[in-house]
Amino acid sequence: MLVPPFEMHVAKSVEDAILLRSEFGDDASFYCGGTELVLVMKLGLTDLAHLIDIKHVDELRTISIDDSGIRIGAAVTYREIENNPLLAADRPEFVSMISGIANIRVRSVGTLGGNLAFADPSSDPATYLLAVGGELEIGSADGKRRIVPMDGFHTGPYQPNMQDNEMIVSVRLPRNVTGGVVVHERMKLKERPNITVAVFASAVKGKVTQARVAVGSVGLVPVRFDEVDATLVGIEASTLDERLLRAATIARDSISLFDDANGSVEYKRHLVDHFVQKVARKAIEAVL
Amino acid sequence: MSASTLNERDTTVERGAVGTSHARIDGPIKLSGQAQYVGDLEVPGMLYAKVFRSPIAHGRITLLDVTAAEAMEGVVAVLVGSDLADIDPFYGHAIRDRPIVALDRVRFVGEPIAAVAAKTMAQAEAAARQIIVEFDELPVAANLDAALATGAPIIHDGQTAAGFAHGLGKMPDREGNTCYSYELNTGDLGAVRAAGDIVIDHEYVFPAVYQYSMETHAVIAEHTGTEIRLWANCQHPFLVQSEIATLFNLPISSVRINVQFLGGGFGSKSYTKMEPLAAALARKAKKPVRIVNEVSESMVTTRRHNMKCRMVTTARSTGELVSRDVQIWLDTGAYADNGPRVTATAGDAAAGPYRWQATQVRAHCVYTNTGPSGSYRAFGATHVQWVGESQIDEVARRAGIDPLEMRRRNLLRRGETVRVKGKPLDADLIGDIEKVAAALGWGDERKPNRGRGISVGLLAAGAHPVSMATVRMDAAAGVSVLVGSTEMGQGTRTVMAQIAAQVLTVPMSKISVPGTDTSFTPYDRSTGASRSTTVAGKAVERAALVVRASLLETAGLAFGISDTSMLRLEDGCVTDGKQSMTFSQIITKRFGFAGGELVGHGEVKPEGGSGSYEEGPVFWEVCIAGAEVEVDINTGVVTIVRTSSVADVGRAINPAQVERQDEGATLQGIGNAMFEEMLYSADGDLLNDTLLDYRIPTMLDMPETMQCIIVENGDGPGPFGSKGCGEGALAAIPAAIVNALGDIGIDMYELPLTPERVWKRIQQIQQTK
Repeated sequence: MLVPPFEMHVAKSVEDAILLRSEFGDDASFYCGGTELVLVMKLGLTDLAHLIDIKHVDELRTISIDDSGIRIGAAVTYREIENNPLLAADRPEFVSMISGIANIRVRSVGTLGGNLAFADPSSDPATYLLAVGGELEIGSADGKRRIVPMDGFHTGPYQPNMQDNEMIVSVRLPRNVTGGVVVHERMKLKERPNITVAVFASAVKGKVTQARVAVGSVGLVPVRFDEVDATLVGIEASTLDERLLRAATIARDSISLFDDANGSVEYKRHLVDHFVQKVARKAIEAVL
Repeated sequence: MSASTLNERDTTVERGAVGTSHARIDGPIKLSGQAQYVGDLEVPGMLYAKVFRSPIAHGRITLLDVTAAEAMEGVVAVLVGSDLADIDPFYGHAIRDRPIVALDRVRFVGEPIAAVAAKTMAQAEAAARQIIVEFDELPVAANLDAALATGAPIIHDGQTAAGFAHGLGKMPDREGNTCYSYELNTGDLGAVRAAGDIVIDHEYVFPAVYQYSMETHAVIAEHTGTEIRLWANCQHPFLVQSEIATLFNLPISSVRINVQFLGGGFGSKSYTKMEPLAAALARKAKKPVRIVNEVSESMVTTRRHNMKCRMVTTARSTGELVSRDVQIWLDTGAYADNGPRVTATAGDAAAGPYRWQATQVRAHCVYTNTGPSGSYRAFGATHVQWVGESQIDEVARRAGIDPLEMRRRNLLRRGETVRVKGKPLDADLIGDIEKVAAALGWGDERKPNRGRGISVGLLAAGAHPVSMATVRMDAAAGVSVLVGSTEMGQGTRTVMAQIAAQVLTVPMSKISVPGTDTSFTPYDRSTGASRSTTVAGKAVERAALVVRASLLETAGLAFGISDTSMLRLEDGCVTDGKQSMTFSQIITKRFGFAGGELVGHGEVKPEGGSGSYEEGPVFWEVCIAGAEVEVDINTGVVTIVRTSSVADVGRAINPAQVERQDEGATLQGIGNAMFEEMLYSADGDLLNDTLLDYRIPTMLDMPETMQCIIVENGDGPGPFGSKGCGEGALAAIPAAIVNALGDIGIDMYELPLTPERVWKRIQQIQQTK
């Protein structure tokens, strides 16, 4: 199928892009890497007359690191993240997660902001951000910006918690926690992951003080559970096995799953159990 | 990587082009993007076509309204079934069961109902969206169980005619949805079966698989009223030519097909595919039209048969094999395509190359309401080798015999009967399997959760042995080889050039092998069944020998030597050891000026028989491989650590190409065994018709070590003792992988070996322990 004809508008700024979006309404979409959007258009799932190109907005194209953490412009490509020396030094596990996304063609044009705005259920950046307590900077038509947590941003498959005339401007990673680690692992059998688990953990004097477990790519949205995290906090070497088992059981029983071509609920529950234990163990053993 | 083992027979081949890993002669134009594929071609006045396909799996068409589509801008013609009233619109080389477009009924999701020709592709697509169709829906049988059930919907009513290349004897009476059955019995099963102390009895499932070649089906057709021209990416241009001529009531010579390069085939472009539809649309439009399929469209154009199988193997407690009883059901989809031959080939491969007291094979080809199934590399053998070989391993485990030793004791030896009336075994299977096992480190200790497996099988190869070739040498001693083998990435043009270079002692740089144009290229039955080097290559060798004889004749006259056996060819000259003439000088001498050409024609035809399937095959292609796998028992993920395969090629004309063939077949074998599976809903929708959801093997799926062992026993019927290769590893690798898992204690009866299937099997095994 050919992409149906459309008109392209090049936005000069975030506000300009949002203005164009308001003007054309449902006939328009922001366009950046196009790795999801163009597929959807080719399949005839959407009939957009206008695309608003945001690739040339400087503010969306920069990466910066300071004391408050990392800011990645929404239109930064995966490949630019992979090749950024500051990120490689500061967040090797983040860069490694990004370099495992799809394939090099997708990573050369696909963007982190686009991934999060599309809210594909199999997105593993979303799972990672959930575990590290990532935030999003959202721009709106009135020129105001708001910061929202990743937690709760995906309310359903392909449903980001944003208004039509809003856009993701940047993605924020909090600064590294002293004595903390993040471990991310995915199992990928086809083009997209079947399960992604990311765990942040920190410990003081042989005892886990903070833990955050995120599970994604397996249900409708990436999820985390307070009870799972609470079960991990306070772990010492002697209680590791028993607590991990309990945390994994809570995760597998709490998560909402469905049968599809990627597997049965039975198998997916088992994967949740297995990977939560495996990844949390790696994280906790690294900090204990 | 290869360990070539040349025996004495090879010294009979003069040093030269054959046996050299010459670079592909079509490499430079492909790498520089100059090679033209059908999708790159534009014929003056050409229109673009969009096929309108059925959204339902089974139903009668109650309304088809194309008036709105016809009125759209740029639209020149819209083809529908009623446009075919003046011809017999059914085609199918095996069974003539398929209309060019649906006439009054659709039988699978994706079946062409109409086709639009317009000035631009966008106009064609827009017009196709305006076509209105309504159905009286019929019950759907979207899988084997549904099609074989009592009271199943009958997908084809009444008897259909045999196709022109049925080639498998008399058409049987139709029984329900079964369109063809093949039986093969030896010995008295009832009498010997009781002698088996060990009985292995299971049911098996093999998935529907897509051949996936990078280039989809594409064709340009032009119909002038008295002549049809096609530019098509078909593997078998001469069979397509004949079928198109029959369909449109034209002499064969009035159908002209041009085939340049194919971006892969693997059987998906064998026989007739989109050509009739393109020709019919061009006839109506009175202009050339081009159809280029989307991947999703090619996936409903052809696929590999999914299969159900029940197999019972009996053996004595000593490991001596007694009997095998096999029932096979192959899902050929809504139209037979090559299903009957796939069924017969599966039937032939089912018993495996073992010494049995009795065997019974019953193989059935079954219609369902899904996309048609046809050829895919190593068809039939890939379906059943893993079944039979896993049962051999089960017998070995029960009898406490090493699987390699089990095969040494029971495998057929050279010259023994493989199939009654057919060609006796023409290979050293025990020698081959020992090489494969050694490459795996067979006796070495296994790491935890790792297993090793080997497998042996045979594939009836060569198809019907009819090929012609013409070799022309011009006055400057340049050589062109006209041969109908289709270059689809396997390197046939390079091999044909090497054969001519060897016979004529000319450098490869002076040889050209153009694509096929049926107006000039002599007949070749087909490109498939591993036959090109063996059969068409033999025709090239014979044609080159005719040119060689002409050179010797004229040189002999010039030298005053009447016995041409005193002369020899050497580096582009004829010499008697004292005097020497270049080929150019000889041709000038022959014709009296620097012009003219030497033309040789070579022919391969059945010798001592009709060449029928029953009498065949041309040769038994050896399917032998080994694999070492590692399983993650927590997730069921299986990693292929190492593979080895034997290319028992008689004589490797181009060893590097032999290795690449085995590597490609190995990787496709990994795909078939591990993850490729077309999924259909109960109402016949193909659920994973994109490469996002249908997983093909990539470089990341390569084993750490992949070893191809070339065996050259000089025992093939092809030129210089060669025989074909390139399919065997695909049949053997899934079997080796299944046996490697069996070695860990995880017996599998259903492919692909998805992590979930393996994990569930591990749970089952742990529970029964």
